[in-house]
Amino acid sequence: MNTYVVAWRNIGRNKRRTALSAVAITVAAFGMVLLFSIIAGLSFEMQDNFVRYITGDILIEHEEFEKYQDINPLHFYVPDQEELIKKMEALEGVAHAFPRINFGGQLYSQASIGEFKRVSIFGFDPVAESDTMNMTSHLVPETNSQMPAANSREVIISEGLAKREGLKVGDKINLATMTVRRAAFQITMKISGIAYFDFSQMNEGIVFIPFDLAQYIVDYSGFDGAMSVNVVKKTNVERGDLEKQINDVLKTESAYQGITARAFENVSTIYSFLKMAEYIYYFMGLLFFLLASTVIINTTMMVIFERTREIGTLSALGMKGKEIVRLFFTEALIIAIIGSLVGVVIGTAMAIWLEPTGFDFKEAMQGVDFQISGMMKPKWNPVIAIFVLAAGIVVSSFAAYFPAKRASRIKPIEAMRKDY
Amino acid sequence: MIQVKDVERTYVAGDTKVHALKGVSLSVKEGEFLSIAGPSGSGKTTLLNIIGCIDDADKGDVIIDQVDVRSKKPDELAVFRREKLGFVFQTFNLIPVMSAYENVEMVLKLLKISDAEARERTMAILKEVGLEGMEDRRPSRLSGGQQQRVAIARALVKNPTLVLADEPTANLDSVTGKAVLDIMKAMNKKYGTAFIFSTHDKMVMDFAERLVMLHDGKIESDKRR
Amino acid sequence: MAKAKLRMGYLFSFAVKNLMRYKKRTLITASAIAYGLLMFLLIDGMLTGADKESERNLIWYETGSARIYNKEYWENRENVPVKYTIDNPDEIMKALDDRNIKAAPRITFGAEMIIYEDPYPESGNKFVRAVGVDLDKDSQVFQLQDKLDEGRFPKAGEFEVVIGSWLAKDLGAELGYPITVSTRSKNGFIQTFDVEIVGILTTPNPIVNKSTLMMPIDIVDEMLLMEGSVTEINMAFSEIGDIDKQLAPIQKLIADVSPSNEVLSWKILGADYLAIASAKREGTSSIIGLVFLIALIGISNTMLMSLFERRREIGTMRALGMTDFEVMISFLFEAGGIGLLGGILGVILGIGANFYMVNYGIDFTSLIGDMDIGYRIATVFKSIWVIPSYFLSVLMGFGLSVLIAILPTRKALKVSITECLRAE
Ligand SMILES: Nc1ncnc2c1ncn2[C@@H]1O[C@H](COP(=O)(O)OP(=O)(O)O)[C@@H](O)[C@H]1O
Ligand SMILES: [Mg+2]
Repeated sequence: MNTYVVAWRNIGRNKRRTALSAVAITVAAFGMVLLFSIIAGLSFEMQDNFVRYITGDILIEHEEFEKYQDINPLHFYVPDQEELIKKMEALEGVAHAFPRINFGGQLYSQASIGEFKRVSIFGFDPVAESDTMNMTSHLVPETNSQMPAANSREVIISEGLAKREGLKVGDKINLATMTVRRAAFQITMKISGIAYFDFSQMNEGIVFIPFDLAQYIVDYSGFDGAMSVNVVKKTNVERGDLEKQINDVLKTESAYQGITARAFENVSTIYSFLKMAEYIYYFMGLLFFLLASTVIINTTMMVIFERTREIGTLSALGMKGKEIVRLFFTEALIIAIIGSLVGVVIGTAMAIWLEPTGFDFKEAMQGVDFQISGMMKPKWNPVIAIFVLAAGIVVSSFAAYFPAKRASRIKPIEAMRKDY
Repeated sequence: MIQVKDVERTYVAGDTKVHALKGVSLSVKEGEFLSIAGPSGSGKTTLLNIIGCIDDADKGDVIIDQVDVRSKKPDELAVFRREKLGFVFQTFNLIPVMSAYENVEMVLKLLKISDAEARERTMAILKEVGLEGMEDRRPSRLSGGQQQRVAIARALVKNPTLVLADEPTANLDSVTGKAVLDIMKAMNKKYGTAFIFSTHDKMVMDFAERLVMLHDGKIESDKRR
Repeated sequence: MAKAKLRMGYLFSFAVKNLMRYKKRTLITASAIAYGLLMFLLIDGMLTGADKESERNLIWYETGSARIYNKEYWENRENVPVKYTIDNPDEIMKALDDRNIKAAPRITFGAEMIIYEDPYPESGNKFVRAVGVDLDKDSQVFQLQDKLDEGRFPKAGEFEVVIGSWLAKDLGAELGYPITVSTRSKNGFIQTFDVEIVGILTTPNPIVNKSTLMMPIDIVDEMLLMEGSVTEINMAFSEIGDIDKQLAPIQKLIADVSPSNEVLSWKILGADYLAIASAKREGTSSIIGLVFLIALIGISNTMLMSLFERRREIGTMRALGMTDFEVMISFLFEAGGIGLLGGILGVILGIGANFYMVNYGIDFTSLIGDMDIGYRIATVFKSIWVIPSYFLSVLMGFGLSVLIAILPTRKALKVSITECLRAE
């Protein structure tokens, strides 16, 4: 009879105990799969939102811009954006490219005298971004919202802003801001629509204005400047490759001196923070398994204790120490595999079940500078399942090895003498 | 002292029913030294368990000291056992974490007997069963015969009215077994404690003063010698 | 139960013997509990430390103990209004002074600060919540006196500012650099004026370091045409106590002296922060809960093992006349012993780990940088000793273990005596 069969039968000898230690591993594996799926979901959502609304796959901007982004560095612009966009769209891996201008300002009106109402201005090209941002689909239907008419002073405001300030479609707003020359500038614009985004950052006090109007406001018109040009890649292209390709193009043109392209991964500090967080959670996951594995150690020790006499018999009959270790180890291994497998399966089921709805985490995320909507939608992937399965099996069978080794050191005579 | 009337006991294991006792009646007087003998599977253990109040008969009555044990609650039976009955098991069943002394003393502790008295009685009985000097040994450091003597001491230390011993010698070699029986008999004579022990061993049966032969769940013969 | 009186002491010593017999198992299970408790103590100490320190930093540098506002102000605070003001600050200040309450008026206003290349490395503009302070009085309420890295505080009547050190770093500002402040007066006129940086401030509160732009209140009054009104009066209570109790007489006073105003405690002023802190606690406790769950599975596992292994022993004890209740108690003692050991071990480990955490803490600077994590503390997390948590740990270790053990023990006692005796 081979070790495997014997081990299997031994497991059946005390089903409840087997179940219990399997459950410990199961709970740990389940928790891990869910936790990792949530992290992956967060990571995905954050990436998606960032790429879609903020950076694109590749962000082209002045190399100094990021360093000074806190102080509204309007003078670090990308010149001749239309020209550049044509060049970009001519590239193999580029799906499309579009310009952006973002800056801050304040709304004022007779009613708001003595108050300081800050807003962010989001200058975008509704046509060029119809595939990615797709503003039309975000317009709140009940409000009679329209896209801004061309060459008008019409804007869209976020639902958050509309609520906060009691603004409706058709209302006029006065905006005070700064030009690239730090001259104060004021303009009156009409609200043509109200937009809602899941992405909390896009739903605060934001005024979405057509790109050419934004250019006019910050005084970029003379050189057709943009604050950035965002590039969306074709699906089969690697961001890193495209980044390199674009930078090569930019280098050859003296007009684009100081302008650089960066792939999404290299833009966002949030991204690297989340990556770091991911590692921390992986580490915590391992700690969980370690804890669960104390149960395995315990169980294996129990089993050995209980079968001391049997072990004595086996070794009296000539079974070698190594074989005895293997016998007990196999037993623990089977339990570890079953436990991990069940945990991974339940965790996977749970993660997939929760994937469409997610669960609410808004409160806990309050005030934390995280670019996610606050709904946690797990996003399961096979790597998670494999990682957790492997970690579960490795850690818990490692835990079982030592007591199993102990069993081989039991002396036959001693074992037979035991009165219990 | 003990009346067992028409006791039946049926075990149900899955689909099969085993009639372990098929109407057994037996009466035991104080101070008797009685052996229940019979081949393996004849129902000896079952009968002793029922007399010892650790198992219930399906039918019939068990009356010990004029008390119908079947009318008692589990906790009352536990108290009854701790006060009146002693057990000796085939496999000794000593508590492994306790020394020989502690195993015996335990019974007195359960009876809330004062420490000083418990000590005196424990030491005395251990001496009587011939274990002087071995009080502090744990069961794992005692031979089978020695362990069984501890068990006998444990059964006797509280001066029970009845000691039940289920195949007390089955795990011992014949010389040791005989020694254990000698002690049991001596105790029976000295304290007048009734003993009921079961066996399937011819040699052991010879020790009995009254021999009840059990066969297939029925009493075959009941002889005094 | 009538006659079956127990000897607790005896059952207890029996339990101890059994624990000693299975030393390794006892230790392993206890260490699983200890590990769970260690996590609890560590995180609890850290969170409580961050909470307490945050609260202190909130009070010392940001909100004071309490603040008087115009009743309209709080609802509109996001717009940094200068139109909802306290119009009789002197009267209120005097009334507070009569009651020996330290108080300082401030004008908080929103402004665009504009800087130009030369002397700054780059031109730019940035929104700030600027404050006009009465320096003599302000230093009574806030702990800012010795927090200047460089320079001095602005002099009354001078166009001078102190700025937070993180802000200074963002701007590339140094002492003597000018800042153009663009804002609107109380009645809506655009006002633009230049101030000179005379001091750079670092406090333990990152929010203050990040956003402070502080200038003399008389200058602000003049520029914003406040005509003597202020946006707030901050107060500091020297002794720490139940803030609501301390507040009651002041609330009454304000209701008498200036009914258009109200008094808010730091708990309300810092409500956003407090909400974040408690949400974080919840998140963390659920993780600790999971750790504990596994530890508890460990205990129930051990108890099951123990019961299973000792079936025959249990049978013997019961045959010898131990009642079920007594057997139960002896096993619960055993579980409690493991729990207690785990609890004590956990507390010892917790004290060790927290000794480090209290005295040195962990520096998260490289991880967090200047990201806002909601806490009002520098990026070094230091724990504090939360004494009740240590007692709670021991209690939890003990109590939960006992509770967990009840079920398997009851189940084991359902098995008949004869069955127990027949066990291998
Ligand atoms: N718990 C049980 N379940 C089923 N059958 C049992 C059980 N205990 C004893 N028996 C059966 O009852 C009969 C009598 O058993 P027992 O009293 O142990 O006999 P003895 O002690 O004389 O060997 C046997 O046939 C045995 O197989
Ligand atoms: Mg038998």
